[in-house]
Amino acid sequence: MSMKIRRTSAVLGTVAVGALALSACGGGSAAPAPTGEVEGEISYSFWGSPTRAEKVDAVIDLFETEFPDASVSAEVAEYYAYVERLTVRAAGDDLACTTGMQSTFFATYADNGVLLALDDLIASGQIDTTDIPEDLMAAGQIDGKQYMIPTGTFVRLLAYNEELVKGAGVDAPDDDMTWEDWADWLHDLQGGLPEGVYAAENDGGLMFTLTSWVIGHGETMFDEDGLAFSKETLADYFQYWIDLADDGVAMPPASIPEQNGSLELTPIALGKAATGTRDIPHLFIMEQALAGNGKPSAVKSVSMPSESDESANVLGSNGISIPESCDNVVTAAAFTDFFANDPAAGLAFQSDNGIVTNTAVQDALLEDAETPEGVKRNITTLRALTDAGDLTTSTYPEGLATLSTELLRLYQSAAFGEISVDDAVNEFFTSAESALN
Amino acid sequence: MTATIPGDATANIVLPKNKRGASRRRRENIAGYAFMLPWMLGFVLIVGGPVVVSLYLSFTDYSILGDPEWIGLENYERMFTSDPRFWAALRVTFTYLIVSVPLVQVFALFLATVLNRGIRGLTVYRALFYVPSLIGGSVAIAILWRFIFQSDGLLNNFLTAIGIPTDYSWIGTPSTALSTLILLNVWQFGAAMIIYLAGLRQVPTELYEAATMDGAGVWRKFISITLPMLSPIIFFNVLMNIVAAFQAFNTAYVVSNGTGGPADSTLFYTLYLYQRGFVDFDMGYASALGWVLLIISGGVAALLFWLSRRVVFYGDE
Amino acid sequence: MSTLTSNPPMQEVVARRRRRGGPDAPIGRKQFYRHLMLIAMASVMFYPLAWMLGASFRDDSQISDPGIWPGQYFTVDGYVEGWEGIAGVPFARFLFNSFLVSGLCVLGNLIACSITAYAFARIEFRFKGIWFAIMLGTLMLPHHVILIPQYILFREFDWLNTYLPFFIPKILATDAFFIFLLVQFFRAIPRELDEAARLDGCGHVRIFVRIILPLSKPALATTAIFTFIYSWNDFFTPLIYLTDTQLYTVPLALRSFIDATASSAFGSLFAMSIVSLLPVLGIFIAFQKLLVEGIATSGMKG
Repeated sequence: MSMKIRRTSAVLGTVAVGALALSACGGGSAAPAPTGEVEGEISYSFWGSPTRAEKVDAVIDLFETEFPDASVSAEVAEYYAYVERLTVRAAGDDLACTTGMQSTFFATYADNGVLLALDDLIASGQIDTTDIPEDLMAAGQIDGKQYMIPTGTFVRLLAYNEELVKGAGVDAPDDDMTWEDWADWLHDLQGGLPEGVYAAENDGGLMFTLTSWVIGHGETMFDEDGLAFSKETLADYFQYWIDLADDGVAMPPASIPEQNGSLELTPIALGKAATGTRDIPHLFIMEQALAGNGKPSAVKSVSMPSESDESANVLGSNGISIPESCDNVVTAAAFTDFFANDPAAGLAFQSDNGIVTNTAVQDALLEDAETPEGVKRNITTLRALTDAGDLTTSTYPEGLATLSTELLRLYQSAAFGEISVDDAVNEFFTSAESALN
Repeated sequence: MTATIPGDATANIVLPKNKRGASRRRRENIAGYAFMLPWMLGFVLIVGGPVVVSLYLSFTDYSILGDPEWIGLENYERMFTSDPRFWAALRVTFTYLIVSVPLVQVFALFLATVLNRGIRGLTVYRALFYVPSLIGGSVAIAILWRFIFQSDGLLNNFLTAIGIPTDYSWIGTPSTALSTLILLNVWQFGAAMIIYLAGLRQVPTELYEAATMDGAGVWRKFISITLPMLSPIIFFNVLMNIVAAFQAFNTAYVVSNGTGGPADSTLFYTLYLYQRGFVDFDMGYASALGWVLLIISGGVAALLFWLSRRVVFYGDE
Repeated sequence: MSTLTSNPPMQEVVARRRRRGGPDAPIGRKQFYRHLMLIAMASVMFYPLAWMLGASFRDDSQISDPGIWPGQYFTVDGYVEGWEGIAGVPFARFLFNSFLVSGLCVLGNLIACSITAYAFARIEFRFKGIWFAIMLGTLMLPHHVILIPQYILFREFDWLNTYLPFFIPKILATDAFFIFLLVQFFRAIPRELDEAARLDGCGHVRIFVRIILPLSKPALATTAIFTFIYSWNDFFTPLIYLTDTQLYTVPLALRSFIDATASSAFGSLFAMSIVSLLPVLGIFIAFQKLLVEGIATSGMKG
């Protein structure tokens, strides 16, 4: 077990007390939450596959049984299509009364007044957040106001293919490595890997990994003025991955397209790379893909490397928001509350979009025999992290999507030798100026 | 003198000569606008409004979720003076256009003439050549394209098998990524081919027969009969192909996952526009980009129309 | 001899060819090489489709296999699961929706674009040149730029979650591509025919219906086929305007089989892609006849 002191442990330790205190203060606050009967029709808009759509339908059935006067119609689309549609809908004030959101992109909508601040509804008890850890709630807040109720969380960790590591004759990695240690370990690993297999995927252009790097080096990503880390940090980051690729330890930049797209086609899933970064729920998918490809192996995870005692495991979250334009806030709130908290709903949904945030629902899932093995593992992994306080948060400001594209493009330019690392860094910082303001 | 002509009632009226001309013109105008009615309605109700709004937006700072704010020519200024990605996008798009349009037209015309000769199995061949156009835009093809052109993909397996060992990632390296997309476009020449086939059907065989009797060979017939008779269609195909190439979006978006990568090497103009508008929420700038594209393609189209006066032969002239 | 006759229908051409050598005559060398070349090209064209077909019968875990033959991983799961559709809406429903929408679009385009094209090609009216330029201009403005204003406009009309945003623009001739196509084809028909009809007392409507349209069968067939295929494959318009799963069209449904945040259902994706390809191919083959047997005359009588 790791001995590092994690920054967030103190906060996590006061979970129940803190949340209870919050809800208890509701009485004397200024704006009253809308009240009324839970009735009428609302829509729930979310992203996912047909499997997820079925589960949502099951949840909706349970909701409509409990509230016979209300009905919910589901709107589903694939993730990228969903995000495209979201913008157009928002422009026309047409968002569904309960809209799926994610910490990586909800800021733009919150900042522009598209989303309703949910604090009143929480205070009045219409949306119960007592069983959702405070730290996870933070993922849905902007400037202290709650704009999204996190219902499924994801944490990106370092993932490794156990068989390949054993076969190479190296020790498994642990939770206490620094980025230097990690690079050394990768070099050792590469020495024992078969031809054509790389020790690591190339994360040089990935925003999440950069976030872990920045936090691990003791800085923060963003503040009110924009980027809050130094150019050297970014330059070192680029150089780190360029060097690894040059040494043949990380996949070459030309392989980056293979890392995007469907999970089952990524290098780890195909057995072409031994390590990479993955969200907790994706570890199981990696295992299944490997088994299908005739290269069965367990895919384990360790914490992201960090230069200090600070945790570099960054939290993100999927959740539900209610738009300002919603005409049936009471029912929307009731559905949000139901989705996030009701144990039967949790069992029906089986934590399909991120690891479910409500601790009581987590318990219910762990106990239920119907819950798939993968889901149980996800919950236990997350629990282990929250118990150890091995999590950190980052803000996801408006303009993050732009920065992510810029980061990838500039890393590629530098990696292919089209521009120097310093020029790439400068261009990134210039883009950030306009993107974040 | 004025025999009653059945049918068109207006033909029965005999007017003095100049008045006949004027009323003829007026009739023509009425007929013209009558036939144009659907289009006019469409333009006013459906297209015109949004087009005018988009022009207005190009002079504003509009984040989609907020209100548009007038900033005059700032977007255009920024585009031409401080946006290297704009020029990159133009370069990518023009390269794509200059290479793929001729290739598509040549393949399409060649196959159309071959297939027009009544070859056995014509129906099958025609369908086979057209199938890529049917499935080209789908996600399935994007996945397959990566399979073919990635570092251990089909193409490299094939090359290695015939003695050229390589693990070069065609789709992941900036210098060759665009070529894979050009290939994807050329692979879909079937649509243009169909149009040429339809056009070839309208060329009277007697012309060919007469030429054969005069001793003309295959190539001569092609140059002197097929090309001129087909020229309105060729013009159409080339112009439309160019306009489509300017606006190519789908394949680049799907194959590069919306990034225009690697390193902006497949950053088609409309993909860049999309990024600016829908990812960066800079819709004012995106609108300006759109109008600049309209001016550029309009200019190219006008040039082609001017050229066509000399080169295209219409049956109604 | 100035009598020009029509392009003979395909059967006659083939028959003529056959007559030359008799039914069992070996094909000549030229024909052989021609066929060889065509087959080679067709195989390249066809490979991706063959791969999709193979992948649709193959277990999901074998997605990375670029070969065509499913071999030991053969399964029809892709078809079974894919056919169940999304959230209780069977795939058959999506096919029906797509048929409806595409059919309406074809109807709209055939009527509206031919009328407008006739005006441009055959009638001299004031400001024609300007309108023509504007019509072509509408083709050159990227769609994303008018997307949001148009969305808000259609929302004001209360057309959201209906098929009106698909059909009305077509029947109002907003598809300039086909207007231009038909203009080019119409202009290839000699004016003498029009003039002869005029002498017989025909007005524009008669000329349009009796002369131009029949002679443009290949062009109209092309318009119909392409319109059908473009609207069948259109992903973006349905995405924006349709929220009710019951109304979804095929491309929208297909995309959701591979959601980036969940396990992908590759088998279902490929299986249903193949299934939705069949109607389109069917339409194409059915209309091919018109392309083949269209009669074109540039005849002057006598």
